[in-house]
Amino acid sequence: MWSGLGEFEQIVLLAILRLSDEAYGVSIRAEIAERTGRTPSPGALYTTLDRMEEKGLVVSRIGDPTPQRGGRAKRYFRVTKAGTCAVKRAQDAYRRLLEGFEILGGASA
Amino acid sequence: MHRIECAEFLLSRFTTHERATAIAGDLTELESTSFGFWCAVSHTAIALSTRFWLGVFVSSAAYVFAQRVAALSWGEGNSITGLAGLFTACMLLFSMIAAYSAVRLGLTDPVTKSAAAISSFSFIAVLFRGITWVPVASGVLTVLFIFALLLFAQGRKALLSILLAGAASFLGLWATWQLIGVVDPNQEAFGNLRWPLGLLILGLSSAVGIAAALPPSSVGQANSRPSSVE
Repeated sequence: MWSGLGEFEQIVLLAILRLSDEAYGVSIRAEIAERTGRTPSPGALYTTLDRMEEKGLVVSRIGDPTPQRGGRAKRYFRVTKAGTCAVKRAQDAYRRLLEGFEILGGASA
Repeated sequence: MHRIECAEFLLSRFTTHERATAIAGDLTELESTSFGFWCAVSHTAIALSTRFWLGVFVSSAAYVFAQRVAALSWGEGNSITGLAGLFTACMLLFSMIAAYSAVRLGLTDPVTKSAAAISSFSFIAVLFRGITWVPVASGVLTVLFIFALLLFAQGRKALLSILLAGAASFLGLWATWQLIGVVDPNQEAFGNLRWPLGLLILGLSSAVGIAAALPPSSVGQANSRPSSVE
């Protein structure tokens, strides 16, 4: 079944899952840069996060204000059950498509 | 600190205040130089404004469409006064607000649904003006619908947003009309404001008014997403 997730949406969801309780704009961007070697632009990241929140894939909460951010609070993200299911479906689809191929160095079925 | 407040103000034109505050904080943490900070703020504002501009465009298209319906119904160049004028004005205004709100706030938002309902009543009244009871029934239904909205908190908020957007839209339209009068007193270039240039300019100015007045966060969202602001 098609997950309805774009590639960047999957990357952002996986980064949030990896960061657990510490997922906010800056840390998500850093995690993506570290794991994929690509640094997303802030505009792309925030529009994707907003879109995913509207779809119900993530929820956000506002943390406490911190002085190093000019007294502005962080907006922490958490992946919802629907978000986790969407990632799982997308990964299953990839796995099925890869079955029988040797492009991942022998990781095929 | 001043630059964060400016960035917050700019970003809050295109997203909710809480989100704008958090994004401004993130960009402060991320970018140490002023240049880098403003580049990031500009990029983010442009990315967030896509729906804003799409809404303005769709709203302008709704204006042009409603104008053509009015022109077909009443005849080109005829001045429409009295109750007929009121219905036509409602049709124009509410269809624009509904179109903008549908793109910006979503189809299920109370502002979209309320504006679409009032606009539909007006459309029916204008289209079937030859059958006497239809405009009367549409008028009665519009009044009853507005009364029904006043009974609920969400309805009252939606109505207030619609009234503000309507006033801002009218202001945009009036200002452009005055400007056209100064630039082109004989209305030669605008051809009596017929399709396409004059209508599009008036539609755009009116839609920008609506966009400026309607908040980025919808009435429905504010009530249905408590998890966003814990």
